[in-house]
Amino acid sequence: MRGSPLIVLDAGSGARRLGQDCAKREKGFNPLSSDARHNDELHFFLSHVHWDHVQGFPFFAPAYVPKTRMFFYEHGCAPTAIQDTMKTQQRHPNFPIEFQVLPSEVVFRELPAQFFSPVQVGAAYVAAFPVRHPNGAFGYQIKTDGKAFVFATDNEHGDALNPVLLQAAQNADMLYYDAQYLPEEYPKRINWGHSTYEWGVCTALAANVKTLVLGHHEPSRDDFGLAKLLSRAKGFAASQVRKKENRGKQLEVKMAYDGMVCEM
Amino acid sequence: MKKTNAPPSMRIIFRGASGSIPAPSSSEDIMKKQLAFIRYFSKHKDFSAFCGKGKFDAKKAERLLKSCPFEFWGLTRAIPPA
Repeated sequence: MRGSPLIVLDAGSGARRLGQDCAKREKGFNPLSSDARHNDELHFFLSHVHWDHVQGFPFFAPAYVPKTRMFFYEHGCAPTAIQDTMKTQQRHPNFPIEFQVLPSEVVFRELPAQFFSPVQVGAAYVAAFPVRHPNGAFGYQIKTDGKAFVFATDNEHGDALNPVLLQAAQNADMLYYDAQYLPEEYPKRINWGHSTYEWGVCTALAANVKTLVLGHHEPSRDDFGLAKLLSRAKGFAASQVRKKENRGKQLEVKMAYDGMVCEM
Repeated sequence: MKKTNAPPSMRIIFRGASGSIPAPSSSEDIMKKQLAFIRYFSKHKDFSAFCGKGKFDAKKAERLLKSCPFEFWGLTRAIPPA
């Protein structure tokens, strides 16, 4: 975000390469901020602490640099404290360096109890909201400079559009949405906490989102399967846009991949 | 998406992307890379070690991987079902 310290959403396996990227950035972690106070700051907002969302952190290089300051935000209604999970993950003999002896500075901050109450991170405002997932999870709405990005991973759709997610995504420039399953796969995965591209498209159109990014891909899906999923999602979006209730709306559909960069 | 030269308000970089494949620029690129991969290895004497025609041979497979002349990715996802 321009004018903000670097904001990190989740710390799965991608955290390792993010850390490598950060280590190469000579003028601070966030090239979009010219404020020297932001150079060594990182702000982590975790959707939840299932392992695929935290397992990359022990390999996050900036955590081992003394001048790094890391802020973790947690919500009081989460089933477990984030710091407990981070400590457990790196407890001997799981990992050679325990979380509490990291040379960097680690600060835990409480998110406002009321959902959609933003915290300010530099010039950006980050607000949490609940999503539907086993053990609970949060989505995040980030706003800065008139732009809005909404992160809604690990969210299972229900039988109707989720009013909380619709509120979060209203007029957003970009919505990242969990599209792990194909519609025909979903009936066998009810209550697993994930969704489909169809519900992503319907949510995005109902909330007047500009760009939908499909992510949290099914790990067993091969590249051909992912390409087909994207093709189907685009086709579905085109069919929905033709409907009377969506007249005049436009929706770009993308598929997330490692290294993809989107600017707004 | 921003199309001017002004600095962006947001730059979102996806890392890992929850199990996603690394670094194709489009779905067309995915297909092109996979086809290149398959074309190359289908001419290779050890291809049967990979494609499931014969018994899987881990040593042959490793040798084959090391001989790949271009960067490839997503190997386990790229191999179509035998």
